[in-house]
Amino acid sequence: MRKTVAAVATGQTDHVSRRLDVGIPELVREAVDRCLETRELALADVDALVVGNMEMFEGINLVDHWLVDAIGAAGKPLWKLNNGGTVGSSIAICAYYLVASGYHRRVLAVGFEKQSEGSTQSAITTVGDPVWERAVMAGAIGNFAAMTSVYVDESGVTPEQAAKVAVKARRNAARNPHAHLKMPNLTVEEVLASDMLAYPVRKLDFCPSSDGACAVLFAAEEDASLLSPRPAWIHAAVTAHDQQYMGDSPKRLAEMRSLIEARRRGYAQAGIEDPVRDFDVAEIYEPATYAELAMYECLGFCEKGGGGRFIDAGVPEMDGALPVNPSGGVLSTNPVGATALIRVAEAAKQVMDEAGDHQVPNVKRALATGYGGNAWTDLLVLSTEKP
Amino acid sequence: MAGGAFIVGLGETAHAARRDDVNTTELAWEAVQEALADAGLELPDVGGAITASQDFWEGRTISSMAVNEIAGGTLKPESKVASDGALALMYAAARISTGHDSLLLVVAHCKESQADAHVVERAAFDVFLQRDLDPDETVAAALQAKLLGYGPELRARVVEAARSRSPWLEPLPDGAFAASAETASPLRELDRAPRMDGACALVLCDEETAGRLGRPRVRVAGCGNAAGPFWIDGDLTAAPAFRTALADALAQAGWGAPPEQLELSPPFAHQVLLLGGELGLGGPEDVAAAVESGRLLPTGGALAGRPTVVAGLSAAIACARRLRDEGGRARALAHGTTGLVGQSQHVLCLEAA
Amino acid sequence: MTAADEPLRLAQQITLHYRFAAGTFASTFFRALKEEQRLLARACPNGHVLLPPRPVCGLCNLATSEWVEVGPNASLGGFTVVYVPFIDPMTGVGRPVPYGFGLVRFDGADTNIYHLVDETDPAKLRIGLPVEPVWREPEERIGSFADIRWFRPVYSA
Repeated sequence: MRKTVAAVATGQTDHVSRRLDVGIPELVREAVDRCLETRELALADVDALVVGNMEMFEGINLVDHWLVDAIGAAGKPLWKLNNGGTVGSSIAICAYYLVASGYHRRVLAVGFEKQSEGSTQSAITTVGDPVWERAVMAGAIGNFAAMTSVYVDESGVTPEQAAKVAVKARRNAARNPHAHLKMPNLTVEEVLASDMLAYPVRKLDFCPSSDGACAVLFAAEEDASLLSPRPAWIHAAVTAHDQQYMGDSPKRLAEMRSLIEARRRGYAQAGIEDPVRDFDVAEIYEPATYAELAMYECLGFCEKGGGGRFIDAGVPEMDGALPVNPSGGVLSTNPVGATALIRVAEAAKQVMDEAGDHQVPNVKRALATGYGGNAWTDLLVLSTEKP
Repeated sequence: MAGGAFIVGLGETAHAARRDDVNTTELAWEAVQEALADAGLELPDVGGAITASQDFWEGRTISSMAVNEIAGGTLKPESKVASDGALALMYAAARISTGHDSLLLVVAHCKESQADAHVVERAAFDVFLQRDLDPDETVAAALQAKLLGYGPELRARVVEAARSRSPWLEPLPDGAFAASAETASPLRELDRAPRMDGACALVLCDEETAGRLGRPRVRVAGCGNAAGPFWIDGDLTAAPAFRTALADALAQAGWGAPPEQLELSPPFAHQVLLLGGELGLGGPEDVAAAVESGRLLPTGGALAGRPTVVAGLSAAIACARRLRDEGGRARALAHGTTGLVGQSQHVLCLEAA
Repeated sequence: MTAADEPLRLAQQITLHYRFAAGTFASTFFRALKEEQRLLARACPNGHVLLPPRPVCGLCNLATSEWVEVGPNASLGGFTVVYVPFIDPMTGVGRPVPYGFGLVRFDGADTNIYHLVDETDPAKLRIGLPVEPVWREPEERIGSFADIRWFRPVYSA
């Protein structure tokens, strides 16, 4: 017995490296206000809140409880998740369940990170198991680049193909007022000339660190139809995690087990057989260019090893058969607590025909994914039609 | 509530001041193993998990990484709430009721011994206005206790009665409360639940699975969750969040009044007196008497040795244990809290089914 | 913007101390490492050999059942050379760059661990390259993966 749920409104701040003008409460409130204003709603119209933030980044424990005024949570059910990179999609999924179960009517998912305020590196170091892993951590980039070497070895994708992903992302971002890194004229050459961070990943291959917040309102059935002229109905909201140590799955990128599993369940639930045909747009969580190429494969957009050829053929470009990350993706904007929620928000906007200059025409079905933790996956399917 | 959620397996570690023999993974695994065995299940039977842990206590960002494998989360849906374990149970129950999940593990864990409580708690105070005063939760709770004005004898009665029924700690010798060091006046060390290491787990499933397993089961009849204002912004002598959570849980369960068994789990004795009043038990004297009679805090609540984060789920487990024995349609209320000075209150109505 | 318009910022530092219990599996492992220079992994009934050793094999959802020695030889499961100085958690300051880093699979294990690699030319590294652990001096060892200073490529003659 479950209710049909939709994303009905979204809001985001304009993401930048440093928001010196606002504190965290005001940053979060901006996203919340922008979301509610689209439907002329007030804080009192929200029944429950689900907050996502990696609190060790900013060093604020129980941050959701400190923010009650900013998000209008006093007197209401308040939930907090912090599953790492997937936190933004986890809170979307939690909000989905709170509404689908009938527990609450209108649930606001709020994700944020003010990375400029904390010591991100110190916090990321604590991701490692204190006894087994922490002593030899090399940041998110070191781990990621090592994973990438396996993918490159197996697929033969080239730095040029990876660079095309960066060019697509940053050029798309130029048409997204919220995006952090907007580079309308970025070229493959510039990407290949950027500093090497950890071989083979260059600076322009990798996501930035942003200050930003995002809010997405979920509601069920009749409520949703009253709130949004074109609700983004949720057809699937699935999660898959993996083993517990960072080196457990050597092919974490080349064959991302959690993504392959989440795709299997999510596509079955949503009736997706051929993703390139059945989806009109995808907002996927790509921490780096190489990851996006691998994700094309793991998502079944192309055959294994075909990620490079997929972008060479132009399929994921704005004018291709399946535009991927019209918003600019994670490569353009990355406030960790919000990032995966932004994927859901952007997918919802595409379905609701509210993506403005980066709107893909005639969207019926959108895919949103979250990535983080130990190569964990969240996957959501949104549609103009009810499931 | 559409689609019931049933508790069919229970597991808990022997909470202790220090579990130096195990790491977090192993501690939680102890509880999970017991819950699975209790339900007659193996880990491959589990469809996913919801866990509860707080990164500051764990000393680890994405702290669920320590337990996702032992909770059966590999290639399965698994998520973590950064709050008291009662919310993990509520989230799991919501998922089960939609029919997307049929069998979930719910796990809560915390090793208070491994962290510096003062610094962890201080990190929750207002960044700009309070942190530099170097407070911790005991300081804020002391302000609350001062305003409430319950005397030391009354609080001692609560603590002594709670400890006398603890599954893990020895009863307190006479005079121990009064002899315990003052922490922040008027509070003494024994006003607060002792710092403990522990984990607990339960198996939650849908009605069909519960029928198939054919074991005694407890239904999650109603849930209530409400946040209050930030600690300093509200009236510390009132309990509006508890009132709301209680009303919501009772309404969802369709119960006209709180049940006989009331396993509250606030960390401070004066909070038990405050919340007991909200439950309609009467004035502070009556509430203390209710603790002594065993109606309130039947297994001692947090004061009996339930760590932060674990307390609310452990309270639910204690209720479920008794309800399974009692059978019929016996009822109990379990409670958890998250945030400084009980800012968020979580109430669960549980019924033998 | 005048001084009066400058946004106000508050600097704060939090120091968090933790005492982590290593647990039964780590204790067994690091004792064997320190005293005997043996590397012990845990196997599940289906034969998955897991390092770090742990109570449950996530692939099977079965409790691991026996200790299995692995290594000391190993091979690279993945590699990179890092050019950006990240904080070395053991020293609190940035590790000098560039440095090799990678996924290392001990012979006999099904999983990898991340560790430092003694090579800073990516052209000399490849998946499958044999590597051997280089141990710190006995008096420097504390019972940690950092007791291995790094892995040195073993290039065939």
